Amino acid sequence: MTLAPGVIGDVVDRLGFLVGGARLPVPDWAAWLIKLGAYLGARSQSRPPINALLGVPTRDFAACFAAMGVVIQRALDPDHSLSVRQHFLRLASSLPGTAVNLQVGGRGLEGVLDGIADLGGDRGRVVRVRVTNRDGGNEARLVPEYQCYRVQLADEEHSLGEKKKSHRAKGLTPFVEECLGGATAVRLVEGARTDCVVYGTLALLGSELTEQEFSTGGGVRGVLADVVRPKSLVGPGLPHRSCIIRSPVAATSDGPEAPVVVFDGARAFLSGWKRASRMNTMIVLDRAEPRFGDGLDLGLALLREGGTLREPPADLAVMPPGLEVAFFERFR
Amino acid sequence: MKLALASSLWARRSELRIEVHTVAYSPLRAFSFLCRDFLGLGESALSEDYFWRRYCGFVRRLRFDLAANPTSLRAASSGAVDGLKEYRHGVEKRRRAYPGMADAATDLLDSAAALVESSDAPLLEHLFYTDLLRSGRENLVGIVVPESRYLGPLRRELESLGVDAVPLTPRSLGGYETYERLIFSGPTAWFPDSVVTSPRSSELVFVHFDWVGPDSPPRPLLPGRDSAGWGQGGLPAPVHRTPPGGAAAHSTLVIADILPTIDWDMLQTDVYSSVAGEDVSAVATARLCLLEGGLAAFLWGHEEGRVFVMTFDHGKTAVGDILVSELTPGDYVLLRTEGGGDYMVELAWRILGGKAKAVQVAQDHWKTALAQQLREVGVEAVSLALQRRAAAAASPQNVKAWCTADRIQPGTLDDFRAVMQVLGLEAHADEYWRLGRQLVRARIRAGHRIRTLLLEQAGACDLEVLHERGRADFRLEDGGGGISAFRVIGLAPGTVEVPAYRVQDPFQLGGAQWPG
Repeated sequence: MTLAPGVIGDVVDRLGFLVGGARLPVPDWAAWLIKLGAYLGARSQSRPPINALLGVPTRDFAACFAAMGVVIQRALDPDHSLSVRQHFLRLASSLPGTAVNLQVGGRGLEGVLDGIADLGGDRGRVVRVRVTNRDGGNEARLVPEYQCYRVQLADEEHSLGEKKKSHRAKGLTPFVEECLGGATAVRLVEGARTDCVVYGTLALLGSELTEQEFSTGGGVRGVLADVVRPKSLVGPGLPHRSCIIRSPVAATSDGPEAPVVVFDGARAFLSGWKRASRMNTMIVLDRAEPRFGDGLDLGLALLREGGTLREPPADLAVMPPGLEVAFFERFR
Repeated sequence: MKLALASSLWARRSELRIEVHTVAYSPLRAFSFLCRDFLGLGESALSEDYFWRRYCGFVRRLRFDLAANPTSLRAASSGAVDGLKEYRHGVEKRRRAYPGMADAATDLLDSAAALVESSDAPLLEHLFYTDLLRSGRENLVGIVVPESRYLGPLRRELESLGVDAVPLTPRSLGGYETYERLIFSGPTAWFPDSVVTSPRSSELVFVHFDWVGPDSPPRPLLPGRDSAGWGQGGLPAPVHRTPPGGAAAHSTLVIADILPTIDWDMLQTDVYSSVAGEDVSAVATARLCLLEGGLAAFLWGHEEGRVFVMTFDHGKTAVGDILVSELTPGDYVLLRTEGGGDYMVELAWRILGGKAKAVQVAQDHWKTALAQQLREVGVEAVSLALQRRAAAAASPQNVKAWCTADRIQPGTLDDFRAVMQVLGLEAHADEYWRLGRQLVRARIRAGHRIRTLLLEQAGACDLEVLHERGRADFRLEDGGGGISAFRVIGLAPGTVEVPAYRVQDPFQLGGAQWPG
């Protein structure tokens, strides 16, 4: 799938960060890193894997912004439809009367499954859901197969006929909805999977993901963790989209599989690079860190041993001052 | 941390301006060229003579201190007056054996003698003349010197002059603090690339004598013709400024000739000769580590040798252990200075409590047998015998390490069984392995405990003093005694065999203490 610059660009435009009550647009370097993450996430099936070796004045927030780009891009990925099909099959195999939550315009309605129907022709198969309407009665809603992710199995039973307050899907915060738009936002919280693994210092990454407040143009606030959804930080029972691994790690080839791996700093890269030999990677080397030179030596050695330099893609050709990048494909 | 701080660092980089100021001072230039000529003759011709090697190290170090320390020449070379006398005496004693060399050496000492008594401060005077020390806005001006030894004298001199600038070393520039202007006393090659590529001010000024240079650009991310030079990564080319009436450099000394280096051969020979006569019943492979303050320590030299270090990341102090091979100059190692020995080993035995005796008996039994085997047939033969029994990690280095207290036992049961077979102790393999694993777990718990104790102390450490002195002292609860953090000056490239009890025990170096 090609990158959807419009979507990513829209996200960047909507996003601002808060400093002492004032809202500032995300800096150019942050926007670039989000786009880089999206680029790597869009090419997760490409072979050979793509590597982006970065030299930065500071690696603060770099991995987090890139992970954000990966996760958003993967939420847009039509290959995601594989999981839509799986989700449809799961709904189809659930008993009628099973409690569900139906997403309508970013709001959740409680209901129950009422089976699958085939409307034939262009309309195809639909999921039938009975929801409680405003009058307290219940009504049937038909959800097309390709939008079946809007129907989520509920944790609790709820009976129809009671007027219930509609609620947001678990994990779907107003910030995520405002940032990404309704459909993409819902896809983001549909199911758990690891789109991106970040190797780095847990405390620092956790702080970046949870302590810096952002806001949308509409004033809705949130943090990067709302979008990046690392497994260790989302609430119990909520779907994750990424995973943070503390570095240094044991120098083995075992590690969680993910389409994109981000190494936050030379130390993470030096200890964990063997775990990402088959994946797209982003290697963030902070020019001020003590082992920058060792990290760069390893990166260049990998390039020499089986890599080919590539030009940056057009969307990323204009780089922020201070950023140095080498894109290469690695054949072994 | 906050995104605004990170953005501020990116902004410093994008708005970067670099200036290079060259300063003329003919007496120091004359001394430096004399030094260059003498070193060119002396270092290769007299490499076997330790007096001349020390002499060369001394003058090289003096030249660098005079060139890099922006304080007065007298303050910059404090301690050199005694050195000059000592070497003058030594040169006279060797005049008959080395007449030509002695004349050249004496001329050099005479040239130096005039400088070390001088109250001139050419670099500092230039900074006043050009108004570079003035700060107008909120942030201060920083003066960055290559070595932390210069900080104290520079601070005192600036205070006496009523100047508000902050003396710094490159290490001080790793946090978020930014400055209105940073002045570096020396060319770019004397400082880490990061001072330019990850700057803490958008105005960098490199001030140095006109016989020193060139100011080379930082290492590019990608090597190659197109990426080299100041334009790579968007770096601005420096603007060069020479004071009015300043002479152009007549010749330029290559940077490598000026930066002090550590004569590891000589240092290790000196140190090794002091331990050669000691009890060698337990020998360890070690690497010599040069520490701040004229100290040194042997660290574990086997491939899995580790040492406790104190690190600073984004303003947070952390304590952990790293491989000795990963140490770099500027790191802070934590070594016991009171109580003797390895505290982790001691604490692990305490944690084992009543089980300690059985573990100790087992360890002593097979390690003594292994050491005996090594003495009788040699480490290569034992290593080969083990490898024939499929012991994957039985390199000669590891086999030697398995005799010491630091390496409890081989990492896998298969390797351990191979060792026990070779020693004829196969019947004890499983039992000794199990006891060894108990010790491994106790060591891990001991490591965690020590880390916690050290973190409590490190949190209260005055980092400014630590960075200036290169040392901080702590006392551990729990009977741990005294532990100190020492800044690493250098780590020897090779290993030596030393008595095991000398490992991780800091000691004072005699003779040449500094890289020269």
